[in-house]
Amino acid sequence: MLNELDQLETQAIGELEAVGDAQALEAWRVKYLGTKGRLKAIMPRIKDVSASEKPAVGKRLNVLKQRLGAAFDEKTAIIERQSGRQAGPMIDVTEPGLLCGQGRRHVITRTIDEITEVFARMGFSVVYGPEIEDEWHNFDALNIPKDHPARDPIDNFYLERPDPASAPARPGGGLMLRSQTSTVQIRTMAKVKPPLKVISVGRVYRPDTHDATHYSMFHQVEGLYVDHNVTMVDLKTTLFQFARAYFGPEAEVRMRPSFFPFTEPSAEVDMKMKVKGQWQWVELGGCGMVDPNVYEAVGYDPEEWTGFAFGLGIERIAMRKYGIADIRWLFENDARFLRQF
Amino acid sequence: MYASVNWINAYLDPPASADEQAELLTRAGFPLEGRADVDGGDVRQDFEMASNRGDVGCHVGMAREIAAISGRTLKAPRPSPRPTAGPADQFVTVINKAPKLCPLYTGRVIRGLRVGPSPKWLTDRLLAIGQIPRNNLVDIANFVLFELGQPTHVFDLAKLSGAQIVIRMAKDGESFLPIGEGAAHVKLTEQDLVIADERRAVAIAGVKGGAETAVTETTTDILIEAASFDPVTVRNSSRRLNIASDSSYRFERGVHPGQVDFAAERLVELILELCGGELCEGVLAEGQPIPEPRTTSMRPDRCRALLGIEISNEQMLQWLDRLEFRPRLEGEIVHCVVPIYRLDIHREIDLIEEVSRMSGHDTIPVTETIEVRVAPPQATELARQAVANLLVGMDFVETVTHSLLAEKLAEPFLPPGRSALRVDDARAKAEPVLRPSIVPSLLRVRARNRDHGVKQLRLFESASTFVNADDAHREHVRLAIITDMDRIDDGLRPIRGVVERLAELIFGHEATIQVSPCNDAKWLDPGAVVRLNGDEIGRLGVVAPHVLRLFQLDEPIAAAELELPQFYDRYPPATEAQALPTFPRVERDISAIVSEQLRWEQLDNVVQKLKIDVLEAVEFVTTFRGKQIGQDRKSVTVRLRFRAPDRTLTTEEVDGHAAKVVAAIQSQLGAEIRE
Repeated sequence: MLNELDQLETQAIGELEAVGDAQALEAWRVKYLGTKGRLKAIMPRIKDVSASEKPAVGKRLNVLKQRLGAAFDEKTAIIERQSGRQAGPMIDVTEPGLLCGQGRRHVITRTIDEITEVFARMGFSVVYGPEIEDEWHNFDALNIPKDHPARDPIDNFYLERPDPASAPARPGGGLMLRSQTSTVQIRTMAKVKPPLKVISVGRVYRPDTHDATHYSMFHQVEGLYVDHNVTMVDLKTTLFQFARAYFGPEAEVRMRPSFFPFTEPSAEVDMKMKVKGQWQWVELGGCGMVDPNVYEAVGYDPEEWTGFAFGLGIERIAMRKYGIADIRWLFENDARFLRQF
Repeated sequence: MYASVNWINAYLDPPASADEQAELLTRAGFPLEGRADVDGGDVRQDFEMASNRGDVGCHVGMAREIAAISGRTLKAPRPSPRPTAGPADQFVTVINKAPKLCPLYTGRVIRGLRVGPSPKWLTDRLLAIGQIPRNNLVDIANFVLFELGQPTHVFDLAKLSGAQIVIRMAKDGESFLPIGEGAAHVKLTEQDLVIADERRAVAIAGVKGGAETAVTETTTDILIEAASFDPVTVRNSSRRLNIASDSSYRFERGVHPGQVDFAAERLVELILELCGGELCEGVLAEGQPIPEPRTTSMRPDRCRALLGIEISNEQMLQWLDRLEFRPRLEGEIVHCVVPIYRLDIHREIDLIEEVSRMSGHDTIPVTETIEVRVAPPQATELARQAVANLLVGMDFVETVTHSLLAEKLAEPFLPPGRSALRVDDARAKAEPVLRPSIVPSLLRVRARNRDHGVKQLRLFESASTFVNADDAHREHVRLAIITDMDRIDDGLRPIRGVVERLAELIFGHEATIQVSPCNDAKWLDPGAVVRLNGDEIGRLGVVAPHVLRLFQLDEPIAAAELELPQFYDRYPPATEAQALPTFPRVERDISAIVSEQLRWEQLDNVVQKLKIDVLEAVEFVTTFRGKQIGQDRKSVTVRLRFRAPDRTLTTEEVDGHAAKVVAAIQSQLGAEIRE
């Protein structure tokens, strides 16, 4: 019996190799695997096999069945491929792709998300504040004195005042579009007791004439960390860790002494980032240790708490990172431009 | 500010190369912005000035910083001119009527000088920093300004009327002709501080001298003004009259009265040397007593604690000494006397900053690791990104548009009873309104893209919107979306679908929004209110044709503006898994011909009211209009989905329910059923 099965296999495989079209393949299937095929014909004879031989024969029969089935499937695939699909038109694999609709994030919001993501991993949480601010939050609390040139109407969007005769003076001074996101620092500190570790992101406004590098609205990300024993080393380390995480392992941070009313010591921040394939120093913003006068304004004890603050320009980062030559492109929102990112 | 390398080196021992000067000043906080070679082997470098460090805006000031930071010796000039003529007050006296705004005014008289060309060393200095030499007298005053940072002014004594100089506020409308080619008369106000003779103002204090009393080639007798003026008064006059000068630049940053005499003597000494003449006896000084130098102190421990680096007390004392703070350590406190030119130093933190500057920010180490307190992910941030990603996946392009808008584009978007907020800025005249809605900005972007040939565009933006309500400003973050209605037969279903997806994302699967017609949004026609559990969460609709015309748009556009960002803090919605149904669903489609006026909502209500317990859902399939249906009529196809939780429904049972639905819509809505 076993010999007979061996012969059947050799014969069937041999014949299958010779099969060249779907018709011959079907004939082969009927002959060997069909309900009246050779394989089926053998089945009833198993009962005649002696008890000692039965397990071996059963096993061999199963193997034969599997092999012929597999060989048939394989041959079917070959024949189908050779003859093309059985139904429908011919399919041309070289036709171009049909794209399903897919929008885009704006390069600015995308950059904001990337940056906040890195700071979030360093333990900063995101806080928001209003874009309409009063002078107290935008200047006074940030240690910018009443006669400081930064308050000049030429550099700020003050809101049109209601009739001064009918409207009482606001306790926080006149209203304006915030010129810096540092206002959110003040709002946060006034609400929350330290320790705190936050970033605020958003739009700020200054009445610049629009050109390739100036726009009257732009975005900042501002960081603030207040705790016991926060030092300049923590400040530089935070900026360094951010630069490495965001711009890559070759990124560097440089701080140059500078002056801002709300931090002291203050510094300009440069980061070494990749601009058009080259590592370059780029001025990205300012930073420093929070000025004791700011703590006084929000009711923190400057002897107990120390902290740092920094502010980076989002447009500056995005423009350098993606080689955007003109800031106006960002706000014209031409879909052909937006879809590049 | 322009600086000559040779000029700075005149005060330094040993001298420093251009590169060294650039590096040291950058380290001190005055970064190099540009460099150019000038004739005669000198180099001109341009340094950015810090707004609180007026004292560095001159060559001695820069040399002083370099000396302190590098340990070089500063060789400042030591003028000591001697009077050789009779008393000055026989020619002119000074009355100071505004000692608060002019804490010190000094006048010195020189007679018998000769105006002529300047020597080469002087013209070289001025040319190196881009100044044009005129004559020895003018050049010397200019030289002292850029050497010591003290502005001075020289009057032709013969041209002054009367024998009295008065420092006073200008009269309203007082006329003044400033020095300068092509300068025109300006009208002064009571806010301008002036120097006047008997007849008129002869100088706007700290800003500009007058043409009528200016020195000329024939001048022989002069009055030298050296003074200290209030920075804000100088700045205001300079801004209002639109006259900026090297003098106003410096006064705006502050000039200590204690510096005045030194600079005046330097000026006199150089004039006597280069123009000849005789200095009259006495200084005409009027003002307030010169304040004593301030003292302040610093705790070295506090300094180390803030900077995070180990700096010894000795090192701190050495640096503060080089900066001329005369430090004295008593116990754990360093006491300092602030040099008069350091108007920026008042507090301990100011001294700590000096130490940090001297130590150099590049010496601050960074650590490889940081300590982090792990906070949970922020719901608002997750929601913001999830919403954006959802919209992007539905072919929406995100925009970032300006918050300011033209009045006429904003007007239709103002809710009833609200007015627009405006910025008070002449330059924003064309677009002064803080937008009450993001939609107009999106429509503008749509129009611009149409002009550039972009077809089929969907846009979204999330940003603040602003209105004035009962004299108080309101600011709300909203989410706006617009989409072309390229399949007009679908009506508002596509944008409503987007809104439903957004609501599902934020509020969960169970949340269903209600949309009902409204007429209070002028910018929509038709428009609808979107509610969730009865609370209004926004508006959606077709942008009204008169609004589209404002943007030169003609194709229909659907828009929605949602208060969704107010709810981001509840993201993600809680979800609990439901077991899938065990028994099959049976569907029946019914096509009903109804009046064009009949709303889907009414049809849906009639079916729902039957309260068929095994009716799982009533689905909209399609609306068909055509000749065979008839005028003002439409055929609405509804799919009824039946399922029982505990058994397989029989055909008879389902057909019975379907017949009930058919009967209800026939009788209650006058519908005709299409077979």
